[in-house]
Amino acid sequence: MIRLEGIGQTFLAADGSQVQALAGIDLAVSEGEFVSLVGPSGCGKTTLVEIIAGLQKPSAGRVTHGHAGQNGAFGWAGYMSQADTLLPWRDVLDNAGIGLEIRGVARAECRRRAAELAARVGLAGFENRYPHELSGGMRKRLGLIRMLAYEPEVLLLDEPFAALDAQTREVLQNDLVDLWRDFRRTVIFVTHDLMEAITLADRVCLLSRRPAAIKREYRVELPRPRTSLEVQFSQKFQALHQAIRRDLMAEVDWQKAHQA
Amino acid sequence: MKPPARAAVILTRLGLVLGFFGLWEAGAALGWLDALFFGRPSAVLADFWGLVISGQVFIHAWVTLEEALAGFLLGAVLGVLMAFALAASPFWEKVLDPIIMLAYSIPRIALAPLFVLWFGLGVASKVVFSFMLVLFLVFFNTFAGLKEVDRRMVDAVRVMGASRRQLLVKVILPAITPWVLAGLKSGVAMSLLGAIVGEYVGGNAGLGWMINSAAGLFQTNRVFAALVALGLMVVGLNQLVGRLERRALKWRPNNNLLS
Ligand SMILES: Nc1ncnc2c1ncn2[C@@H]1O[C@H](COP(=O)(O)OP(=O)(O)O)[C@@H](O)[C@H]1O
Ligand SMILES: [Mg+2]
Repeated sequence: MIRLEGIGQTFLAADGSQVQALAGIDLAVSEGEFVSLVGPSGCGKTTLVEIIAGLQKPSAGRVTHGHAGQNGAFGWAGYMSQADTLLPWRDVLDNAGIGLEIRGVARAECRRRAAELAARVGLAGFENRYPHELSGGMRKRLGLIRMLAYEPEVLLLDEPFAALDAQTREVLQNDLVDLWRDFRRTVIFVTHDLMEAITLADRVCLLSRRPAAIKREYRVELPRPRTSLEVQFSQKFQALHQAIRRDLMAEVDWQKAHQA
Repeated sequence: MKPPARAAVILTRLGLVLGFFGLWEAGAALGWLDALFFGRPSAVLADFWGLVISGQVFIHAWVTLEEALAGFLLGAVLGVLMAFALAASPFWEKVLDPIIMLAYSIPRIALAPLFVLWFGLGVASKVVFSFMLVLFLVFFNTFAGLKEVDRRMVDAVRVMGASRRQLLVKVILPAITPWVLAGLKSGVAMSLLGAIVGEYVGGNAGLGWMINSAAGLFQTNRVFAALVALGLMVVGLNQLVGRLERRALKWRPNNNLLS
């Protein structure tokens, strides 16, 4: 269970002006739930994820999660952003096992557990390759298993697949859902892609324009397992997609009108 | 582009080198080149061989190598430490930045006579001089490397629960290794330069001293013989560093952007 209470964040921009990114975010995510966060670009999604991860201190409010090392300590969450943050000098297994290695697990055991996960996401045969020898999709899959290997309670994903082409992204989405089904972790998934948000999540939260607050929430009552192809043609899906899209565009349009 | 054939490359290279020395030898034999000033390849080889037999070349090469290595090690260790210290403290980085730049932009070769004055004609002045040259190189490279470490890469591992020590050992040190190695590579050449110049300015042993004193006596062949020894030493050291680099950076893709 993660609870965000009144999270606010104000930055001091380079020119000395204040930028308020977040204002009063309240959100509770229950154990094992998959929540997608969507919102206009630049509204503060990355800021929010970094605050939950503990990489930024909010200027207001607090994050509580019932996990060891409350407040300030790391290690309870898995985190993956759009950036490629694999360690280029480590091969696939040493990359995937680094979270365990940090916990003092012997290297051979790290590699053994990493190899099991690698096989699960189709990286068998690539165990000893370096990241630069992998395709973009394979690197993302390695990122996913690196995050899961140390079994964090919560997964924080910030547009992890945004840089991929449409087909590869769909494959990765399915990989993620498979892993989530088996591991049953709590997931907070940021995306600007509404289709992706709805296909994956139990609940979609729409953030308003900056300073962002939760504008609306939508339950996604579509049966699982959902294959993106089937689900996206269903009536229910399309109705939900339209509703969220309308609300999102209202925020985007306002932002446009007031920015020039 | 098609890569050039290996045999052709080697043959052409050999031809160029042999042609050069052949012309030199012929010029000296036929009296077109004054052997007093230009020496003669065959005489250089003979003199070099004589130095090998008498063991003199090893004595002097060892002196130079010792000076260079001591300066190199001191400079490398302190250069890396200094870079870490400054990268860890934005305050001191700000304070020291102009001072370091000023110290760096003084042509340090010009300071060689001072070092001899302070540290004497023996090994110490050369070590200090080598050290000064290597220090800046390694410092600047390491510092630049530290500034280039991808914060997002560090954050990704931090979120996993890594301690500061683990971040240092598992992320930061490997990330700056290419930069440090680049500094060390040029540092090897620099440390030899420091030792040689130190010996020119004031010394009583070493290959630099040998070259300088032979030139003063118009023993041109001896100058070249000492240069041969120096060349062999540099090639050997570069091989060593190259091997170290390939081992440490075997994970790196080859980007030959210009080929
Ligand atoms: N360190 C910072 N300093 C100043 N402004 C920032 C900083 N980080 C983010 N911002 C601003 O906060 C807003 C939200 O950024 P971000 O969280 O990256 O948005 P999103 O991920 O939703 O696109 C943007 O206007 C951005 O310019
Ligand atoms: Mg973002």
